[in-house]
Amino acid sequence: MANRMALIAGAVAATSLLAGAVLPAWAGEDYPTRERVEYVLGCMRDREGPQQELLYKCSCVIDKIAEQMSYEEFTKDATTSNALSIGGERGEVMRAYVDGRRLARELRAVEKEARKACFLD
Amino acid sequence: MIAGLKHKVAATVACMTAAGVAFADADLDRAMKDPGNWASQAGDEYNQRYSSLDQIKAGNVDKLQVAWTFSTGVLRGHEGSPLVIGDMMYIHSPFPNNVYAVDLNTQQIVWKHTPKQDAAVIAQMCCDTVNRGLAYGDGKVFLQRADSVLEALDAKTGKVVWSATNGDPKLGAVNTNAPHVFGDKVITGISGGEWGVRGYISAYDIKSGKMVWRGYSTGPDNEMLIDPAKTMTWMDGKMQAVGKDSSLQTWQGDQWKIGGGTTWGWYSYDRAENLLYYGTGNPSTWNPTQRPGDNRWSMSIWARNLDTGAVKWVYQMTPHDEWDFDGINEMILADIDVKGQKHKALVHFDRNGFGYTLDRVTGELLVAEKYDPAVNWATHVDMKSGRPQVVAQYSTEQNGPDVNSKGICPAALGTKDQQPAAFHPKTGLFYVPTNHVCMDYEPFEVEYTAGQPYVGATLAMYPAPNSHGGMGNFVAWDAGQGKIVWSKPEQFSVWSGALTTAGDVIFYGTLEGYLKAVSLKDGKELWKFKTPSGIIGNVFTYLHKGKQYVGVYSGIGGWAGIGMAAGLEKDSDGLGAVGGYRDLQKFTNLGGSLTVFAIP
Repeated sequence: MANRMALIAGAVAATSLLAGAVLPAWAGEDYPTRERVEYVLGCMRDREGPQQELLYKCSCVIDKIAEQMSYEEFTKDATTSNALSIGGERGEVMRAYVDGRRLARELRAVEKEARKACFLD
Repeated sequence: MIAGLKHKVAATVACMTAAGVAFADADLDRAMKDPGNWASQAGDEYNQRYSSLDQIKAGNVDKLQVAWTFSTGVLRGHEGSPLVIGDMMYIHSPFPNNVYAVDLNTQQIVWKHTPKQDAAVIAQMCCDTVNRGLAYGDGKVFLQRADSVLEALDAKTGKVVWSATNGDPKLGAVNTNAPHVFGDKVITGISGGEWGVRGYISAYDIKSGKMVWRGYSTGPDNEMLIDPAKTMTWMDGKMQAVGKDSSLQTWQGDQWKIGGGTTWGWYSYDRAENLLYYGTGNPSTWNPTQRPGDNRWSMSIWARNLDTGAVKWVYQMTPHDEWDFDGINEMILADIDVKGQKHKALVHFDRNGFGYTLDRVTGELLVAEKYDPAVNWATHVDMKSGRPQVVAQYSTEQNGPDVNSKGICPAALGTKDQQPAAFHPKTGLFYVPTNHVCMDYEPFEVEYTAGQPYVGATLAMYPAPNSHGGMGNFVAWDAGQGKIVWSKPEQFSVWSGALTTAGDVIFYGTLEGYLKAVSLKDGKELWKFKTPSGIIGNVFTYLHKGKQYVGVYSGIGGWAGIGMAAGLEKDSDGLGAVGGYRDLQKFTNLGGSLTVFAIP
């Protein structure tokens, strides 16, 4: 479902920056439905706008992300990114984690590009 | 049958309060005897975190599905676990420490308790505004609030029966630990080692809330409840009396007054010995050159008489701490073979990276070995003196202030923090969630100001070099031999408490948010499910209407980014499913959550 909706949204966003990229064979296939739905719902509730339109745009974004990084990479980057803001010693471990900020930046860059390609801002 | 029994337990809760019991709390005893309950944070008094429930087992654990969820409506880190007694589940939250009693038949809120605490307390908490959960006994639910107030709530109604002030939050004496009910006492500790709080542990009467005794971690013998001639410690290969002023002699001047040694971990209790076991945290400050001496009895394992607080024995693991290796981690009691001999043992996985096995009756040191091969700050623990043999290169003291000591393993958070390990009686092994992180550590001079952080070190951290690249391991440990049996690498530090079950499954959570089930035999992953946020809570299990459930809190704190949103329902839906608390709507959207699983 999510894939099909994203295809529609993707067709609208024909000038997608990502469209021309050569995609690895696994692209997008390993993201569980639960993860995509959770992402879409989270994305929709963070924004104002017609629900149906947001559904298309947010679905498009997670599908674009899935084309760019494996689910394992996405999970690792998202976990790191979230953990950077934990209070206290545990957060300190993550903030001082040499690769931590790089992983968080990586994810933010991919998301930014995906949003642009899906008319979402 | 079991469901029926649980009904009865719940029904007797209200009328049990009048029962006069000499030592044991009959109500809690009855609740703990029923394996369908999860009546204390560890499931028992031994801290074993083992459940004899076996419906969910290695052969069917991959069929687990989400049965129900509950959003606490509070962000920040969610540690500990709910309690289950009969048909009621008691759920807690981080600051402001809300408590919900939920009827398991309807999953509706029966009562809620929302303490009014001064938000100024938040700034006094070093390590997020966590709370490690509730205790139950004598028909009451006990909440140790962040502002140090210990509250006894009527388990049926949530009304405050008594409350006691356990410390002064203005001086940084706050609380994160769970209270523990042992016998007719409620035991609670104190946090604030980073604020120069002088640590102590206190026993309150379960009925009246009156303080029965308080034992300090540092200072004069009488204030620690240490008898110089009777309190024993491990010296020169045998147990000997600690002697006069065993703490005072190890501090310069009055430094013991702001000496730390706080007590925010998991305590255990041996009924036959009537002994309470717990650990003390780091000495203040983190800059070791500012506090010469062994700094006793910070960083120690304690055995106290439950009724009087008198110290039977005490053992200091890390004399003169240079790394913030708090000794507060859980004390697990188990009767195991140690090097061929049966012992009533106490097993403790210290932040300093050594797994300790002691005879819990005598206090004798039996085993002290590294439970992560990366540990390098000490070569070994000298078994005669009981002291770790510090490697000069990693000594922040020997390198001195304003020198960056590099490559110290483990990092300040230790090879393991408070996240509790579990024991399985069938294998006799311990299952330990660990950190696999090293650090660079640079101490600097600080002045003590009451109510202000008193740290004095800057740190940098990274995954243990020349290893699997991840920041954690989940380790099976033979405490009788001091050896790792198997070790499962994890991408991130494992900050969730483990659960073992008679179904030969071990559960633990991960920072990614996975609740994982692994095989008791070899740690092989049998099942995982990604909950809405990272897991730093402890896994628990219970029976309802004859069916086994397993649950865990998720919620790591920090901002709500991707995968952090727990209650994804629209604002208008609110908490409709869990009762008419419409006023909660506006802040239940992104809270930490409880996810409960069962086999359909």
